Amino acid sequence: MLELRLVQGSLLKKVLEAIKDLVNDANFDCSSTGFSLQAMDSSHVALVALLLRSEGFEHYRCDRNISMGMNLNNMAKMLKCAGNDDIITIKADDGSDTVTFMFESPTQDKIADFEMKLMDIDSEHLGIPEAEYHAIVRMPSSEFARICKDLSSIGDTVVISVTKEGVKFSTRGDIGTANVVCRQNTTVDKPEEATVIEMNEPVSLTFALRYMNSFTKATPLSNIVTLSLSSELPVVVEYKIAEMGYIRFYLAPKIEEDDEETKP
Amino acid sequence: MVSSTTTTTATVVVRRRTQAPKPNSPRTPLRNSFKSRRYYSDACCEECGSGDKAAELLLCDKCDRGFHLFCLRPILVSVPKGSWFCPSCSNHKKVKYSGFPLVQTKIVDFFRIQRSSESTQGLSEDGQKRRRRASSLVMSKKRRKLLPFNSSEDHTRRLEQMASLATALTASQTEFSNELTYMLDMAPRSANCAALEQGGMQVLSKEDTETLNLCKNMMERGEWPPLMVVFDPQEGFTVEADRFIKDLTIITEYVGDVDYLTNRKNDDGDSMMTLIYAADASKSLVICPDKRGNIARFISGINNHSRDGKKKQNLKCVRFDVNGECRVLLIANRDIAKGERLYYDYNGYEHEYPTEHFV
Repeated sequence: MLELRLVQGSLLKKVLEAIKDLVNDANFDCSSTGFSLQAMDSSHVALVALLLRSEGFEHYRCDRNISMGMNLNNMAKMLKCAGNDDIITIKADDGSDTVTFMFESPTQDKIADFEMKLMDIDSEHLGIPEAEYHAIVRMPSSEFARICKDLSSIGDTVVISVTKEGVKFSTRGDIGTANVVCRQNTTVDKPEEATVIEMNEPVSLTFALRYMNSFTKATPLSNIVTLSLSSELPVVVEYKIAEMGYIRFYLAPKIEEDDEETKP
Repeated sequence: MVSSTTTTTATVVVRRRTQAPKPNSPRTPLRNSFKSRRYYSDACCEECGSGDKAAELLLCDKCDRGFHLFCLRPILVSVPKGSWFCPSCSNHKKVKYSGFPLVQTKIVDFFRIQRSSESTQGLSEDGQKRRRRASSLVMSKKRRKLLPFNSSEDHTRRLEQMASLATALTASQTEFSNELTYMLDMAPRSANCAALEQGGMQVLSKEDTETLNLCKNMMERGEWPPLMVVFDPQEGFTVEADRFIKDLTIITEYVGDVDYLTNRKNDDGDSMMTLIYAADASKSLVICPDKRGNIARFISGINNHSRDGKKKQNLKCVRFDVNGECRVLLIANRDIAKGERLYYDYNGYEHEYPTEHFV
């Protein structure tokens, strides 16, 4: 028996909007710690990891650890029917092959329920090791989204380099090149507008912008985005979900052809 | 390779048109001074492809390729005195347009696939009979995917495994190689074309190709499949699993020198593996791990003639079309416990391998 009641239903709506274009079908795993998801996009270049901790739900009941396979587009369609202020409840019975979403308006005068068929998805979890990243950049999420959007009009790959001067996003294309440098800036009125850069080692990696632009769909979830970079590792783009958890996107870098092992 | 041997005078050496002089070999000083000798009648311009106007066809001093004076950019007015290098030879630093030759890596190249934890179960496990599949056809078919191996965690154990393989290779006078090798006097790489296979060959799916690449990457990093080579007085060198191996795990690839079957007809080697069984027998290829090979050559075969023989089999030998080429993979066909000896059926197709004497 599974019953999760989330007062701030808009969070779940935003989460689905953020991931439905990246991943089509995925398993939502419920355990006593929380509601989570780990899925790769169809090209296996990006990975999304979501966690909504049980403490963030008003009511969290999960008798057994279960995995529910859902088509994210269909789930997003149903969640779109919920108002931004609605309270969302996710219910599933043991042995059932459907999940129910219930939306209650804050004034308790309108209740909607949507039932969706579950899918059988064979997915394997990837082990993500805890790593010390060479550089961690914390910046306003809207600024990061704007940079990615601007650069994608020039080129299709972005080189993110972190040096002691700051973080530089560069791209090149047919019409020319573009560079955006963000320096550390902690003297701002609001803490969420600060740009904080922790650098252990300078690092420079290249990524495909189209994935970055899908990740920035999660901007409504948080004011701050954290980029963790390490050479030889995928970048982690993390948006914290207020008092509940996080959504992390991992993107595999593009590397020089010589470095790649020659395929026989 | 076409050799152009034109001897105008005794000073000019016989040379192959397509082969540049080896950098170490001393260059005859005469080559530089007698420029006129360098216009061989069968040299062609790299830009336009024609051999006309030989008097205006320059040959690069490094790579021997031909270029018309008027095909070069910038155009050369006359034959230069002294040595001349073509545009690509005169660039000493590698010209790499940043961003162009970059290769997109995949997430699975960095993070290992771990089996979903035992604690998560399918929601509808209890109601299996009542489970309705989603309408999407793609999801309703449960595909059996190949799994990468899990090497031994203990570092010293891994070293012991590698040492046992090294001993066996030394004893059989085989050099270690983890890839199919294409030697000059045997089949070329281009001969390995999976399309030649009679009846067609199964294509390795994208996911499984990634798994194979993951296995190769792990082996490069020193994470070997958990196998130990042991010497048995009856069977000779044989391979045991040194760790629990799950069903459908890729154990290793069968590698060695790739040669034409016709070349090896009289070979009495015991480890040849069919690579391509073509409709045209002259195109059939075999893998011969006699000179170069890896652990796969030591894995034993089942006795096809005894009733118990088949039961011993715990691996299957499967050929796949990977990017147009044929590769031979050894895959577990059931769960294998630690210490179990590995066996597969040598006679998958042709039943030509004599196995009556096998254990």
